[in-house]
Amino acid sequence: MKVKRLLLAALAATSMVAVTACDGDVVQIGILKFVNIAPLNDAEDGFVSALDAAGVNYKLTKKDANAEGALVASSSLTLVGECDLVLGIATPSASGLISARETKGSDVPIFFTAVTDPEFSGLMTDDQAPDNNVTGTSDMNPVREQVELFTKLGLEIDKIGMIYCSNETNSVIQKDLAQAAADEFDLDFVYETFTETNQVAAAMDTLIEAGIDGLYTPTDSTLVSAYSTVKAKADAANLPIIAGEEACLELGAVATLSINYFDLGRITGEMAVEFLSGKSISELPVRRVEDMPLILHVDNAEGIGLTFPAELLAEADEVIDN
Amino acid sequence: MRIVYNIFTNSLNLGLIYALLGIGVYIAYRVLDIADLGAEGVFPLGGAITILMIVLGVPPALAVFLAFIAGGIMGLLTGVLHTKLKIPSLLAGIITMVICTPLSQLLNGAANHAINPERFDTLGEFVGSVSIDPKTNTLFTFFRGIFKGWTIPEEWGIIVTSLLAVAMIVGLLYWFFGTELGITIRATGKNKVMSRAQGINTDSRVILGLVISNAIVAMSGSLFSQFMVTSNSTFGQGTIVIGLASILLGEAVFFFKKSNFAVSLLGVVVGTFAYQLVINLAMRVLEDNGYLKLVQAVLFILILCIPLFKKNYANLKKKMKARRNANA
Repeated sequence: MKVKRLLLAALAATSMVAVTACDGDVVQIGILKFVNIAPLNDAEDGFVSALDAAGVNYKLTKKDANAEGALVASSSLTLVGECDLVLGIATPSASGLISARETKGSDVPIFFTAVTDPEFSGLMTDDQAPDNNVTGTSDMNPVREQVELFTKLGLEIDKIGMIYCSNETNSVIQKDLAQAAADEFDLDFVYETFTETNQVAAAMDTLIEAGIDGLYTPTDSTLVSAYSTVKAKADAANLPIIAGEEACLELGAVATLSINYFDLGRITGEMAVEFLSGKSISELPVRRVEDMPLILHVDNAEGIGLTFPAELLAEADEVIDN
Repeated sequence: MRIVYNIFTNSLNLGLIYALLGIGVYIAYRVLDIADLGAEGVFPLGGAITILMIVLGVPPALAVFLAFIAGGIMGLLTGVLHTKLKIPSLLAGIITMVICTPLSQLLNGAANHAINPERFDTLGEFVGSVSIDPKTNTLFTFFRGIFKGWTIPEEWGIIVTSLLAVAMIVGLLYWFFGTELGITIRATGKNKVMSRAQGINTDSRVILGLVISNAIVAMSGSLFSQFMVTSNSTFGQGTIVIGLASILLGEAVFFFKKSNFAVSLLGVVVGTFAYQLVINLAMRVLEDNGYLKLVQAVLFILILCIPLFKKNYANLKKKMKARRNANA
């Protein structure tokens, strides 16, 4: 009895959905966002804005995985089964979509955005020659140029430190890049990792005891949530912080070369439009944001007794000074 | 029709993989009467070991077995912490969970290094997630190939593989919990004091039960990671909820509580499928997943209330009958 009733309810619900899903030559686009945070939302908006700008006739199905593996799996399976084009925002969504496509035996093209290094994450073997019907945009920040900023602050900086959350694959990649950049600019480099935000204070103490003259913070959402601790410790030791993303300037960093996630999403959307107007995925290599403005925060700099050199101020695209 | 088919196969795919998780949680939660949160860490650990082994060229079946063993070791840890060091079970589980995360990340780092040693120098480093080529040989490849030959959608190969794994585990557990050792484990879970009075070493039974429970959870994680061709140290998030909901759903809707052990295990399997079905349906109706958590919460309340409804309904029927008899 009960089972029968459940089945009836299930059938009623599915038929309801089935009616709404039947459309003519509208492009069915599925978006899977790993978690609901500002940068990923911006990327999503940027993607949609590019579709709108090109006048694509589309129907959107949006899924948000709440950062859970189970939801990544079921959402991916749902989207690849019924869409003409799917977008994965952040690495786990993109890899979930790829595996779901394999499971479903589908050949839907997969776009991704907000993936730091698609080769490192195993999404593709060569990001300049997509061969698996997968392409998109990388949000790799210009780590080398950001580290280079330490040499332009007009301070005696010999040793820089970096702190990041080891859960974040992207941060590990940035650590390697920062290390290489530090070597290039003759800076000593030390780093500390943490897995939970309550370890940030201790990690900062270790870095400061190691005698660093400046701190680099990568794009790392866990770290951002504990940025006030980072800031307090750095201030006490008069350390300038160079950040991987713009959001950290409000939280206490002195300078960054920033990435705009809306632009990143928009570029991905433009690639999707190119695909819809006939280009094949293999002709659409992975793209990055080319235009990254230098932003300086004068108040934060004054807080640690730093005055930006005139050359750096002249170079800046934006100076925040309240 | 395609949507109905997709909802059904998607739920079956994930439902069967999570059925093992449900069974593992069932052993801790129902048989031993212990809330073991370690599953949230053991699940991704099983996946991380499997992906590393597959990258290293170990046969997938052996990789699953190694994940099974590793899960057992983590269960041993929880059990020893709980029984020998007298740490409350909830806390012992949390400790295991916390230990598993960096271990998974180290394994991910090693896997990433093994994929491309020249480019990724991540041996001994903590890496959150690693994906492998979706065409890589996994446990599912064998049956997928067979179904491809029969021109049946390949995903049925995955379903059949998981089904066989679930059947094997259910069969083994049914046999094991019928042996003298197994029965003493069940007795320990039902009534520790009485069991000890009967001369059962309850500590060792609790430890053994947790070893089995965690081994099966790790196996579930192993299958999940092969399904996703990805190991991610956050894959464990929400697994306890899935496990418990499936157990309760299986018990509340499909079977009566007082049933034999085999039926209870099957109830868990049906429960995980039903839970995935509900999630998949909710996901369709809601379009945006934002409300999904709220729906899950409401669903949870409903599931937990079913026994109460049942009781009230039975009472009502009894009253009606009594009244009819009085009138007559």
